[in-house]
Amino acid sequence: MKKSYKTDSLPHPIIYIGAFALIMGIVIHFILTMLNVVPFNPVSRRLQPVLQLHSSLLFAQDWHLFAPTPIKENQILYMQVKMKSSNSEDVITSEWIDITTPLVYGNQSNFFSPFNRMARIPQGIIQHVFHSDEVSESYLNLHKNGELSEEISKNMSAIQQAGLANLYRYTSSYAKYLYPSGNIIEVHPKLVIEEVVPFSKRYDKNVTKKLSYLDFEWKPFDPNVISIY
Amino acid sequence: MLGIERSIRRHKVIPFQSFIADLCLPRYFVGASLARIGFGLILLYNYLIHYSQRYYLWSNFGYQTKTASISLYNLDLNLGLFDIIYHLGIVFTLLYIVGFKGRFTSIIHFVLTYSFIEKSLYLSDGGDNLLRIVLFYLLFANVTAHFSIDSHRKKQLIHRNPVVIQFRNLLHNLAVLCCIIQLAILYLTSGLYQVMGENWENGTAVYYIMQVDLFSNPALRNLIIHNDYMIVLATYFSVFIKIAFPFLLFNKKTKYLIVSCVVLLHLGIGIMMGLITFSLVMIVMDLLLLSDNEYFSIVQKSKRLCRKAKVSYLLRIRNQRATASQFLVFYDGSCPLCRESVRKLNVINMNRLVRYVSFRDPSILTRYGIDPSKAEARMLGLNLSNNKMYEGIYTFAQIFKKNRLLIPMWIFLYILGKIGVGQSIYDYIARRRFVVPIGKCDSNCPIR
Repeated sequence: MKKSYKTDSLPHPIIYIGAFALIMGIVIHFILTMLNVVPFNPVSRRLQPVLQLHSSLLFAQDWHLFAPTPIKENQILYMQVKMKSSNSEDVITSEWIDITTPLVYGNQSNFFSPFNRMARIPQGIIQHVFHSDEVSESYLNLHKNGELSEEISKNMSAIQQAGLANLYRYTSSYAKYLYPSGNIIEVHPKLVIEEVVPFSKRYDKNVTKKLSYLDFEWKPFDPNVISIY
Repeated sequence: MLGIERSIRRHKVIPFQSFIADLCLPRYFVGASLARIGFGLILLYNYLIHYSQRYYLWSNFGYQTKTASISLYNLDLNLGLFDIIYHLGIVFTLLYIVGFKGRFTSIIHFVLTYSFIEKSLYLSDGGDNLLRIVLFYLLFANVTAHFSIDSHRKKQLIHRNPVVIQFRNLLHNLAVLCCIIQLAILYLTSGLYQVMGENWENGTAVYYIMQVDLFSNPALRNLIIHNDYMIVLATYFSVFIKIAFPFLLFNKKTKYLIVSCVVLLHLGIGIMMGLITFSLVMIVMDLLLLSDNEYFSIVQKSKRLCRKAKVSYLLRIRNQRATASQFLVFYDGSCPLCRESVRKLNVINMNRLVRYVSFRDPSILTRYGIDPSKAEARMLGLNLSNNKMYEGIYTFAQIFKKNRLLIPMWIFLYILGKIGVGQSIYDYIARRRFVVPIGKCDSNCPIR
């Protein structure tokens, strides 16, 4: 059934032109957005430069949200600290210190606290250090050599290096908090990955969680970074 | 006259014209204003809850140096300049919430929020991502039409040019439409990724997520991970709701159902996974889904419900009060004079605060522990609110006091009681009353 309007209430002709242009712009914008966020496909691969340009500044988005594979591990950062003894020239190495769990416990004891977001830092750093994205991975799998492959590899490496730098800054900030008057020389982060209990073994009381470790190298302590607390 | 004639003349329009005409009507102003307040409060919470950690989390001297993203916080700032930007963020968020200088505040607020979120790096989540995009769309909307300082200030300054009004409405409605489409894309994409995942397919994904310390509530996670039904239900609920959202949203009948489900989903995520601000952003987004008419109808229905609830509450209170302040009179059921008096008193017992029971009934004696000889000598009365027992003339005084029509009589009896003759007069009448079996001399029985 067609609607009828009062003549006076109909929009001015110039409004139709403006509306048409705006609606077209919105349609194109959301087609590009959709292609950018849906699983990687031949069309999004073909339009990759346009999609990257479109999403680079204002419309960057990622809606994986624990999918397709949910997180199945707890990533815990530890650190060791090398300090100069205050009485002698001896260098003391600390025990392994858990620099993740206190933040996670802080969050679990009160969701309405700064820990609610701060607890994400260690895991965020780890993801940054082992950064990979669907598009780059897919391209590199297809083209091992070539100028673009080299550029992509270089970009990925640069991102990972930035993550690594943040890992040492975070470690240094925690060391500064734990040893405020200590003469810290170097920090040594380590990642412990604790896999969760598989669904099939949930009632098995003797099941042990699988642990894996990744040692990072000793690096100089950054005295300029602010203490975490 | 010509104008009126023109205004009543109607003519048919093509669907595109009708669509554009609809877009030029003021439609989604209440939702946009509510969303402004909601988003503003979430951002203000973020600024304030991390106030003590601001240097560590957002300055270049904290756990991160400059990032690749565009942000005011990535400029070469000392802590003093950093503080200025951070506090400007708080001030403009406050101005945004109260709706002061809408357009200008929105732009500055967007720049500051964009900088804040872009520099958040590891701290941010999907809620921040969506907020950043939606705040950009809302730059083109009128978010201060309601519940704002601007809405009070601009009442006299309404633009009279219909073309300008129509264009503003068009821009506003398209901006809100963009927010809604963005939300639909979010759910659809997220749902598609879930469908692709093995654990989402076999209904165990929530079990795994609940075991990750960072995204689980230790007080509640055992409720889920030890209950297969809950795991499967929560997993599939999440997938179905997300996939169904865009398809059910644009139907008037199913819209409320899907919006309720989405709100439920995000309450669950907030409580079970501790993703507080993410859940809040997603719930506030849903405020944009309702039109002004729907809000007005909700308000009207709520008012009606409130009125009904208020009336029933007042009635309940009145009944309770009435029960509590009831006065129980133990009259002589074998005395025709007493029975007749009770009958007459009951006629004018309008507010039913006085109840009459015969003490000749053995169950009454047991229930209230009445001494029958005492009751026979003088009429007893019991105030149920304080369990105080009255007798003789004082029982009458209470009967009269409880009935507004008999207040003058109460004053009279009160004076008689005070001067010490009231009880004697009562005793004189009481001693001379007839006591006969029930059914005989029912009315007009004389005093001996």
